[in-house]
Amino acid sequence: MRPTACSSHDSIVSIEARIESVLPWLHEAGNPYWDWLWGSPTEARRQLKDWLARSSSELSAEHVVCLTDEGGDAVGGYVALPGRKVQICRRADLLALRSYLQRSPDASRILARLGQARSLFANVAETEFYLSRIGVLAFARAQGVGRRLLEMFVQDGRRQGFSKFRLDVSADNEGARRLYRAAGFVEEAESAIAETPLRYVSMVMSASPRCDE
Amino acid sequence: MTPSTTDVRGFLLQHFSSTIIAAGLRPEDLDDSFDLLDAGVVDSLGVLEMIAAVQEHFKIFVDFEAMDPADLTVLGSFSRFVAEHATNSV
Repeated sequence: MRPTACSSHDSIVSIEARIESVLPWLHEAGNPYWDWLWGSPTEARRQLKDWLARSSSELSAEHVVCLTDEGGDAVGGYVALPGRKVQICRRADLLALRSYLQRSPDASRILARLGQARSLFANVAETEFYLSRIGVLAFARAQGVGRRLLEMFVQDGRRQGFSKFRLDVSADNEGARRLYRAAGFVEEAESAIAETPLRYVSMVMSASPRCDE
Repeated sequence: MTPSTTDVRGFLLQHFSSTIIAAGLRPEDLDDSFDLLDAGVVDSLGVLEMIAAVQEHFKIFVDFEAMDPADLTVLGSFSRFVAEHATNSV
C-alpha cells in the first residue's frame, strides 16, 4: 500500500474523477449519520459529491488523503484537519447548507433532523487535530489498512505540531473502536438520539508532537 | 429601511442575553471580536436560527455569498455584514 494525497492540485486526474474514486469509502465513513440526515443513500451520495467539490468544506476533496494498492486503486483514506480549520470549514458548510435549504423542498425535514442531532458530536478545539472521516473498502479490510491510515493521521498531526487528536465513531462500530483504543485513543463521551440508529462516541488521544518525521 | 450595524448588534445581544448571562458574561461588556459559536452562545444549528431571527426581526433578506466564513459568528463582523448586505424582504 502506498499513501497518495488526493488533492485538487494533481493535474493528471480531474476533480470529478477523484471525487468518484473516493466516494465509496468516504460515503460509508460518514454513516449512519450521513444517510439518516439526507434521508436516503442516493441523496446522501449526491450531497457528499457537492461537499467534496467545495474547497471551503470540511469534506473538500483537498482534505482527502487516500491509500492505494499496487495497481493504483483506492482502498481507503481519511479526512483530517486542524481544529481551527474544522471550525471555519463548518461555518462555510453552514452557509452552503443554508443556501441549499432555501431552494430545497425537503428543507423542513432536514432542519428537523439537524435539530434532533444538535448535540450528537462534540466540538473540536483549536488545539486538536481532528479525524473527520476514515474508511477502508470492504475487500481491503483485515489487512492493517485502517491501522496504517490511523498512523498516517497521527503523523500528519504531529508534523503540524499537534499533540491532541480527536475523532467521532459510531458506537456500533466495535472493530473501529478496538482499533482506536489500541492506538491509544480513549473514549471521552457518548451521545445518542432516541429512536434512531445514531449513537456516537467521541475519542481523544494525547501524543507529543514530533518535527523529525 | 435596512438596519444599521448598531441595530443588528443590539438585537443579537438582546436576543441572546439570557444565554450570555448564563455563561457568566454581561452583554454590555462584549466587544466586536466576541465569537458567539466559540463561546457556546449558539451551536451550529443555532447559527442558522440566528440568521433567520435577524431576517425576521428586521424584515430583511441577507445574501451571505460574499461572507468570509471565519466572520460568520463574530459579533461585530456579522452585524456589519448584515447591515451592508441586507435588502428589504417583501
